[in-house]
Amino acid sequence: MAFRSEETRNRLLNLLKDPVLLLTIIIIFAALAIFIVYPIFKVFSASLIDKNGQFDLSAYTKAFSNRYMRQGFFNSLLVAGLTAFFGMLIGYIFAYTINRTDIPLKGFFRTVAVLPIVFPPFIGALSIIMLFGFNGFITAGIFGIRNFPVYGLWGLMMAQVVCFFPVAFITLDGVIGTISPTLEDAAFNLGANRWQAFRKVILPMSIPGIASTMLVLFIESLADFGNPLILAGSKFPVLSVQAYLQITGMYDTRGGAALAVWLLFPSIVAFIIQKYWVGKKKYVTVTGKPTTSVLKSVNRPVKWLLFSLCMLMAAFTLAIYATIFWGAFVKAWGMNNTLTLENFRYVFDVGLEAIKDTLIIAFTSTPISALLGMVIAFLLVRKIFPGRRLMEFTSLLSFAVPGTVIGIGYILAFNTKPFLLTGTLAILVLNFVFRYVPVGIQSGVALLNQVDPAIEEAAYTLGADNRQVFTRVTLPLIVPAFFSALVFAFVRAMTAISAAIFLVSARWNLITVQILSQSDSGRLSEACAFSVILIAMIMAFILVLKIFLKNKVSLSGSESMGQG
Amino acid sequence: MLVAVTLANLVVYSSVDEANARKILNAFVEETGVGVDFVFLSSGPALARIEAEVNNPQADVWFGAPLENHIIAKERGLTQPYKTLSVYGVSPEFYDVEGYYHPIYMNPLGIGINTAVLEQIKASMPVTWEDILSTSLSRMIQYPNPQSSGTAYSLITGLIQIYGEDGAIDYLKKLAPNIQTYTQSGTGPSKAVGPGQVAMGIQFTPAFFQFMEQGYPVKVVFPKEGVPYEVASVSILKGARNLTDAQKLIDWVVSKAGQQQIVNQQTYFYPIRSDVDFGSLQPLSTIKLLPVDPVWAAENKTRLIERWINEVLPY
Amino acid sequence: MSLILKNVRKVFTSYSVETVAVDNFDQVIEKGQLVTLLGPSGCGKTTTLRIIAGFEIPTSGRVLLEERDVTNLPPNKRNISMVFQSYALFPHLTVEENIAFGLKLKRLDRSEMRRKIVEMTDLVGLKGLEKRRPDQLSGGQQQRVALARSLVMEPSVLLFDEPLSNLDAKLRETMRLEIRRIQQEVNITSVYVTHDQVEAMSISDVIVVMNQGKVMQIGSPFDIYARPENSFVADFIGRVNFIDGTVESVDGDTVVVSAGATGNKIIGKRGTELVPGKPARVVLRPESLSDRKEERINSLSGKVLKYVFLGSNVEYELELSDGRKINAVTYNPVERKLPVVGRETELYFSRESAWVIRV
Ligand SMILES: Nc1ncnc2c1ncn2[C@@H]1O[C@H](COP(=O)(O)OP(=O)(O)O)[C@@H](O)[C@H]1O
Ligand SMILES: [Mg+2]
Repeated sequence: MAFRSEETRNRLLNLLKDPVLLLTIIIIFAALAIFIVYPIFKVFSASLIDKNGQFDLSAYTKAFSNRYMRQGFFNSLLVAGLTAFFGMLIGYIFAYTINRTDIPLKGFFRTVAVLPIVFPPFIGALSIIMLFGFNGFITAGIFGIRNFPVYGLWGLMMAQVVCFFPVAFITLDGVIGTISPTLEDAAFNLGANRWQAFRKVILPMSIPGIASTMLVLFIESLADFGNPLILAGSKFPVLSVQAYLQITGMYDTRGGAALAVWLLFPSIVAFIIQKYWVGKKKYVTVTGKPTTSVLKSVNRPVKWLLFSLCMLMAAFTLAIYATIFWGAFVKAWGMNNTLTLENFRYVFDVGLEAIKDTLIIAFTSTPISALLGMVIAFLLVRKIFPGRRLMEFTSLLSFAVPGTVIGIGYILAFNTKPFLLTGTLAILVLNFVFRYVPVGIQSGVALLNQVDPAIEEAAYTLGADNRQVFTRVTLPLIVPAFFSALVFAFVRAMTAISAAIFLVSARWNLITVQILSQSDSGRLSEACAFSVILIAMIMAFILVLKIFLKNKVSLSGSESMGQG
Repeated sequence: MLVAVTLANLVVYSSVDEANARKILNAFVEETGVGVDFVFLSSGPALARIEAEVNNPQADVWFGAPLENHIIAKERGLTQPYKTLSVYGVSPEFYDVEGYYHPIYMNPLGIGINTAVLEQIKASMPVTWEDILSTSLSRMIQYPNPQSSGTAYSLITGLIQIYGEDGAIDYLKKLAPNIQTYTQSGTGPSKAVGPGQVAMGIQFTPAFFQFMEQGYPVKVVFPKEGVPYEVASVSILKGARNLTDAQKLIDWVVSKAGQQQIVNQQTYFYPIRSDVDFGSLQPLSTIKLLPVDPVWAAENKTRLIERWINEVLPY
Repeated sequence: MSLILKNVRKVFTSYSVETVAVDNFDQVIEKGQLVTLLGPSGCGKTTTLRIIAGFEIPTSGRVLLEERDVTNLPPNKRNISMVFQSYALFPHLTVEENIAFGLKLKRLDRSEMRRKIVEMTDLVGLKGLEKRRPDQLSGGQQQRVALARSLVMEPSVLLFDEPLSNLDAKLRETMRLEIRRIQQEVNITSVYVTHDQVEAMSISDVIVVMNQGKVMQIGSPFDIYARPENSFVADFIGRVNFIDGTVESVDGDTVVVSAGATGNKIIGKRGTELVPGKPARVVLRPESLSDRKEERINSLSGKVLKYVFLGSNVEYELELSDGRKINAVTYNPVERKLPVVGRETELYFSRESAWVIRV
């Protein structure tokens, strides 16, 4: 065993020789501990310790013995599983169709497929009801169906699939876009037909992307609470809402935290499965070797079938947005269709401060979150250091915890010294940074796994240190992941509600909170107007980013992937 | 002046919806000259937050949220007493004799009806609680899940005043076939009633009045047997930094002047004093109110909600 | 003295299975030398190279570069450059930017940098391609960029990991001459990894033959070919005949071996320690066998089984009387006659070409 210790000593000595790396690792660990683990710990301890400071498990036993809660648990799993599958499927169809066929309207599909990442909370779900409810424009208006079960599994799943399939599309677009078409050529040469080439080449190569996509969707769906709050209804309880209601309706933080722990369990299982599965399958496809791209992956009928499927989904997505826009420009959503700009006047009158605050918070947290995501992805994929698995786990943890619990945790954790942060801008920014960093990490890791590590090693041998390798080589190579993380974090910061509602203060308020309060007080049209402004600001951000980057970087895509 | 960011401002956590909170507090600011900052937080998150912040309160006053929540806050030691002289003339079931919480306004529970949808399904306007059991209203009513909001719990406790406990559960069971969904939030039904996705919603009525104001074809019915109500209250938080202004707010809002503003500002809330001008509101005298003992309601909440989940929800 | 590997050992543990990738590698690499690590795939060549570069941390042993212990130095501080099998060009940078990458990190001033880049593009023959991106280059050109990018850093040691294996045969041949030319021109200490023995022979000063993590032999290409120290090396490099037998007598450099069942005596050259009475193996290259006696003192006789005419030479297979098969090559078949299948033939070989080693 003696030689082992020599290797370990060498390893440590090596790490010490590289203070920047060491410091980065230590800082990230500290930050993860303070801003992810500590708040969750606070919630846990609140759930485990009764009023008298005694250890007490009753909150858990109560949650476990309640049939209604158990049903909520299974419903959550059901919806999450279905959403993960269908969201991934639709994302995959979009990504495949756009990357592997020569259909028209690609730009349109690309846009539509990323549009729902801006899914205004509450109003998005309400517009599903407007489309599929008793007087729904689609169910009643087109098909004459009055009793479509919009409340419950179907409505909720529809909302979540629309809401989350862009995540799938963005990841899978990056994955499929980087699979060299020459591999398909090779398969054709070996006598494979198109279906075999797809099944034996493209599909297996996109398995890591599919797996991490489904993981993300599964967890997002489990933790989502804006949509089920409106659409699930009490007959179809889901755990995230139950946890929220336990805290906010029954004033039972302990019970809510216990439910959240229950919710955490499948998330973590999903995460471990993904690690076990994806971790074993790495495919290096970006090598700096030339590729030629000839689109002959599908035949004509299949091409038009795929086109139609994308069109159908696009139409559905656009219908939701049209509904929101329509609400914003009429006097009474669904009841009085007189066009008016009154709603916007109201919004700019009442909500200007909130709009400004939201922008400040989003612009501060977004770049930090995206960059941090890339740094962590780089460390996780490319560096061996003690606690690597721990870093991976904790950095993805906040993503699996319902926002409500994170929100409560932040207040519990940061209301006293030494971390006195409540009421400040910092608490919102930090919350957003650490809540949305997993998305960046996931896409960074997925992409980095496809980049030949020799490219970075070459940089080291040319004298670059870790920081230089990261900024000059890794980051440019995973720039699509960086920008999708950037956009994603921005969108989330702009549309966040579940955790944020606990953290907004007199000085720092958010548009989403405005949407909630406006729709609560009957101003649905004003809430729609707020949503429209939200959508417009996010689209403007994406557009500016695109222009600023001279279209070199596709926000959803792969075209800059290493090749130019 | 509501927005100024000077530290001396009174910081208010408002569980009154933002628009109405603005109206009421603006009137307060105009009449007293006190500066106010406020954050809108619905009652659950507000309480959770106040509890979490107990060692370092970020606000001076919790404004709004039903009386029951203020009782919890009092029991958990989150608030402090103040005996205002303004309570003279206010009926004693609305305030705390120890001075921990004070009334702002009250809301009766009612049935909001979208008349366009009612016509569409050819049903008639209900007058009593029994009327909405009619089969013509199949899947055409929403009310909130009592677990999620005080609103639906008030409905249960109110119905218990009419039918007794088993009778009330029995009534809700019979109502179940007419329920389209039990919404998760207390104001959920109005959001479906307004744009015509359901015929009726049962909840506290201000949101319905607001939908009416917005031009939606909504009418409100207070069933003859009687309706429960909520009293939105205000408490001063323990450790409040701006105690003087907090007390000024209490004095004002309970006073006749403050209560008149509740009406004048078109909040559609009911004042808790009878010595004010009710304006266009349906006079309180024509609505039968069902008083519920808040302590009893709080003690039985978990049990009654369990009953509702087990006995009513499955239908 | 340039690069020293002292007892370097590397053990990989994955799922509690230990793989000894490099086993007590001990070697001094002199300044300006090109040393090749040669061996079958999986024998630990890459791992050794990566230990030199600093990408792997040895389980035990030290790496010394110009009298300095660099074992615990990160790759970027070692002044060692590497050319990768996959070229590993920066796909987001042009040829010029790729070459300038390391120089920029050194904060060289502009004119100096320009001069070096021009010099380097000249040296490796990339003139006119400076503005291209890697995906607009052929494989050979990409490898030139990789080479230029490393060379321009003027590293103490240049490492090559199978740099030519992605190229076609023809290009491989020209490129390896190019690499050797440039290496000698700038006189840079190099460690070159390949599994191709011809490549190794043609460019190396010293070849290190490896097998299963162990060094089998270190020597000049001539030594490795003509004086293998063991059967592995003899077999791995070029084509070979083994004739097993027993040592009859040892006299200085000269050994007499009684070969197999025939008892045929072979007088050979001693390759390792040999003890009379113990088994030994005669290593005989096919081209050492001749149909002319001349000065050759050993002979074999057998039937011609088959032959292949290759223009410049003829390869044929002989079956000895005890059934063993022997390969032979004769050159200049136009002058000598072609063998006749089935005919009994006598072949001769010299004492020098009968290399006797321990089994
Ligand atoms: N990172 C690693 N983890 C585990 N085993 C490894 C690793 N890298 C190499 N090996 C093993 O070490 C041995 C030597 O590998 P390598 O040096 O790549 O061989 P070569 O380059 O000679 O083909 C092989 O058995 C290989 O499987
Ligand atoms: Mg190798």
